[in-house]
Amino acid sequence: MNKKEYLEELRKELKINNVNEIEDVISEYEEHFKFKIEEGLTEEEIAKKLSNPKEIAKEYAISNAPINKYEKGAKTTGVVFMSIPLTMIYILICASVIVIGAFSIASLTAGFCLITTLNIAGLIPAMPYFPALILGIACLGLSVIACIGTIYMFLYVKQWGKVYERWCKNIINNHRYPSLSMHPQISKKVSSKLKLIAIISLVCFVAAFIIAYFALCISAGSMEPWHTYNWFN
Amino acid sequence: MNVQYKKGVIELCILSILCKKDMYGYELSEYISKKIDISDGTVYPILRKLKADGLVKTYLSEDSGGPPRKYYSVTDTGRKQFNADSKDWLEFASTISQILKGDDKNE
Repeated sequence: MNKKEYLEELRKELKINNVNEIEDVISEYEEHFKFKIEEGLTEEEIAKKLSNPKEIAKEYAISNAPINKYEKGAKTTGVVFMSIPLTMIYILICASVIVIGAFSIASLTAGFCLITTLNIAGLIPAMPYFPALILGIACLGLSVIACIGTIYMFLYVKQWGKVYERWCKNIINNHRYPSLSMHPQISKKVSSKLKLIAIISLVCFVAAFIIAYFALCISAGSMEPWHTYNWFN
Repeated sequence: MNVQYKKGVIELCILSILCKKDMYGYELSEYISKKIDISDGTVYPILRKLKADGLVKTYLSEDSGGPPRKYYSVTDTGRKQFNADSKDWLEFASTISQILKGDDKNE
């Protein structure tokens, strides 16, 4: 078989096997012939060394797995309808990330106000400076924990979005792509640092909160300092 | 060696090569057939499959001065897949070689 005969035969077999983009395949083999001829082989030798067109066409047919258009349309519709309630739930989850983020900012502000004795709109209850300072530190600790929580939740929610998108794509395209992990990829170094910071802030928060409470009790001379300082009136 | 054994790993070999360097089809085909005894042209259908799976992509380039050639390069998905599969494969291969050599420590 010379080049022309080989390519004709291949084209015929590809058609029989319903392979897409036949010209693309043919050009790959034309290229192959061209390079081999440059190396000094004859067309017949090259064709002989290639596997036979029938087998090649079968290989392409496997990789091709044509997707039925109607099936694809039906699957797409299914995925779209399924996505509507799931998107609502996803928005709720996203909102909870924002809530935790807002909590972190609120704690930060409260801590800042307590430490600097900056009383915006009379929102900070009256108390002596020492317990206020310690309570401020507790608030800052809480803010850091909430901030790390927000980062983690944000990364997870983002990853889940991607997982879902890939999953839908795979349903439509006959599992063409590998599925994704449910866990976001955070480098070990970063995640261990974040964990350490979170633990330190947690300890800070708990310790400072307890100390602040006792300091308040001592300065108020009562186990219920909020009554002494009239916080709720 | 059995042809089926080889076909399974050629995908992985192609990904490995493309992770290091972009190549055009013929270059890849020659590179592999020099190392693994397969008939010419076996690589092209596999490249098509990898492309359909979204593991490699193609682009045209005429950097060698000649007519534009279709180059293959690995996608992010392909790189991830390669990292996972090559680890699995190496573990599998080392287990098999232990068993075949008869120095399986579990016995």
